Amino acid sequence: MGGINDILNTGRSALLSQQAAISVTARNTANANTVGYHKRDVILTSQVNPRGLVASDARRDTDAYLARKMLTAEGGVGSASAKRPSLTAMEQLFADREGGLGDTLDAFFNALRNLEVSPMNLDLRRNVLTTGETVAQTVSAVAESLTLERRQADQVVDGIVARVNDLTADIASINKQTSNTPAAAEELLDRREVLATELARYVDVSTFVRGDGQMVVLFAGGSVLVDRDRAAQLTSTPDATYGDMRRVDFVGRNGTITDVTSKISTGQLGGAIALRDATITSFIDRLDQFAFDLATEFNTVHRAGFGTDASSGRNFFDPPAGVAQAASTFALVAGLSGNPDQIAAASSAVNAIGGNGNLLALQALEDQRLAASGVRSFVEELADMLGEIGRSVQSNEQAYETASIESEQLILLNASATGVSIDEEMIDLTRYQRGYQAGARLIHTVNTMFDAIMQL
Amino acid sequence: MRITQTHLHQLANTSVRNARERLIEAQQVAVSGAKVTKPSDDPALASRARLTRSLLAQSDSHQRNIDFGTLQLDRGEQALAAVSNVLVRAKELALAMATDTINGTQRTLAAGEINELRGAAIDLANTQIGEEYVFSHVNTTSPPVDSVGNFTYDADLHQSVRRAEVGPAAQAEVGASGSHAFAQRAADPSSVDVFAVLGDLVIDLNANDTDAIRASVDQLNTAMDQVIAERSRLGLRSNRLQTASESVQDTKTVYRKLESDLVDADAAEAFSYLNLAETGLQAALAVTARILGPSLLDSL
Repeated sequence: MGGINDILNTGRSALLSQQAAISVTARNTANANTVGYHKRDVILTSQVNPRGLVASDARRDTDAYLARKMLTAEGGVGSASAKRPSLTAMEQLFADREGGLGDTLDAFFNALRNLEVSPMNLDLRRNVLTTGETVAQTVSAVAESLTLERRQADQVVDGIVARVNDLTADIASINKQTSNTPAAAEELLDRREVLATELARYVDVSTFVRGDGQMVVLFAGGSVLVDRDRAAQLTSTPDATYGDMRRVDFVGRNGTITDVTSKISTGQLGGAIALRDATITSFIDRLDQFAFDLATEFNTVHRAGFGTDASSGRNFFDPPAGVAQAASTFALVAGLSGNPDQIAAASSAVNAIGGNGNLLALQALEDQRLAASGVRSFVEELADMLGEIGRSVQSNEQAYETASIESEQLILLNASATGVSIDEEMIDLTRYQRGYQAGARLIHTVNTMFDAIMQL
Repeated sequence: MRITQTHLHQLANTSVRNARERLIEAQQVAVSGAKVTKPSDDPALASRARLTRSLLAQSDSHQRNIDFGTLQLDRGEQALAAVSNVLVRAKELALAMATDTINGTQRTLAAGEINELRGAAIDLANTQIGEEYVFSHVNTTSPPVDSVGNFTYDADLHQSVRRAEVGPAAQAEVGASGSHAFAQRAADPSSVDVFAVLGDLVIDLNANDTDAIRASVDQLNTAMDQVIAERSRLGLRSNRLQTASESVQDTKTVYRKLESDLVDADAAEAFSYLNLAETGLQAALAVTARILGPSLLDSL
């Protein structure tokens, strides 16, 4: 049983503790919309000596399993969103429209077909040359654009690598600060989690927190990116083995350099690398093969025919040196464009003037299965590429959707555990306000008690 | 479950964004009238639509071949009809001049007329469409017959008529044969050189050779048969093109329908979907306003 002073002390502790609690509520309320902020819980503990109350606060922690899943989902979002702009641009390149790949190829073969009726008609001959040139130009323009897309995908790598290094350095420095000043650590922990999430958007990482509160960041394949206050570095260097694209190296703490380019599978970096080394490359290769097949097969038949000057053995398209680069160098053979009479329309020297036998053979190439190793016709091959790019875009969109939804769900789950609810805070505010008022009343009462004693 | 501010706002954000996305999609379909506007909308359909368009373009080029071929055949037929008339008139004259009551002066006058008719026949053989000669087997840019009635090409070597594709894997003859109509060919011993027959008649008339004139009537008959035979062949070729044209039209109708089925949106469906999406957005907005609105803040 304490004295009056004891009650005064208890009242004082109540006032201070409720005030502290209100201060925590205030902080929660203020940070209701802060990204990465973890709600601080007020912990009121009754105290024996002196009798009364102490308030402390605790940071709500993210579930470790949830944290890991969030990083994976972020990686998926990053990867799909890095591929998105390029894939959309590529979709436009292959889209079926006037002047598109398919349209120009149709026009070319149709021009050949129309020349059959009147093989000496200069306009129709010129039309064959123009449409042929358009096919070559369109194919090479698409190939150029694809190469450009590939280079752009590669240029992103430097920026991402630099950002990754910044982030890992930041995480390492937070690790250091938390071990030095554990008292101020809570804000830093929030910040560290935000940084880790951003990091996951760029490269595949997983994190765990040691018992002493230090975060370890593991990189794709298990190498340690950050441990305590030390961060490893990523570097990017153009490399001939990657077609002059950037090679990404992991520089370990002891200076060992490991090529990790192919190990990065998710995040924006993984997306950019997959885009430039797989997706775009496969389309460039396919277009090269298409251009090579078209030029070679067309030339073979064209060489067998005769121009109006009764000479044969002339190419129509510039013969490609090989499959590589065949699309970007696709062009009419030099000197043909001004000489429509050199189109080998006739199938024999006797019919050189006015014959159309070879035209029938040339236009028949349209429907023959000569592209894609004899599986499809040229027209079908273009249509198939169109479908292929459509499927790529579609699956990337789906991957993006799935990863976004998953990421959103996880963020919600995490927010549900660690976020701020205004209603809750308002209730708490009222609660602590009432507590404070009660404490004040206590002191007032004690004061009255003192007055009563004084007046005795 | 504990509902936080982040939760509420994220949910509101997502639902309104999704509703807007759906509305934009519905809008695109309704405005463009196409359910597949880019390959990723439906890769398989887009790819098939491309092939269908290619086939449509092919059919268009077949139709152009048929149109131009028909034009050539029609011009050829007109010319051959005119040549037939010329030969009929020549035969009349020859028959008239073969009688013994006609004297040399009259025959010389007739020779003049026949010569004119021969010139007319040569002109008809050199009938052009634009700058192209209808009866050319080979070089359509130079006349098949020169001004004195000699063939400018080897009629034995060039007998076949130009063929062109008029349907998928279907070819048809699209020209008129000057060789078959006008020339004497080794392959056909009964054939005569029409211009030579007329030329001989002129010489015979000038020479006042009644027997030869009488003999030339047979020759003229042969020439007429020859011209009419080619004319009937032209008729057959025209029929063939007519059939091909009908089949091209049918093909095009089929492909158009197919393309439309593949990519075109059903108007009723598109608009009902648009309405649905619109309602969806309004619902999302209304719900969001109701969810985000009330807060304990209003009541304290």
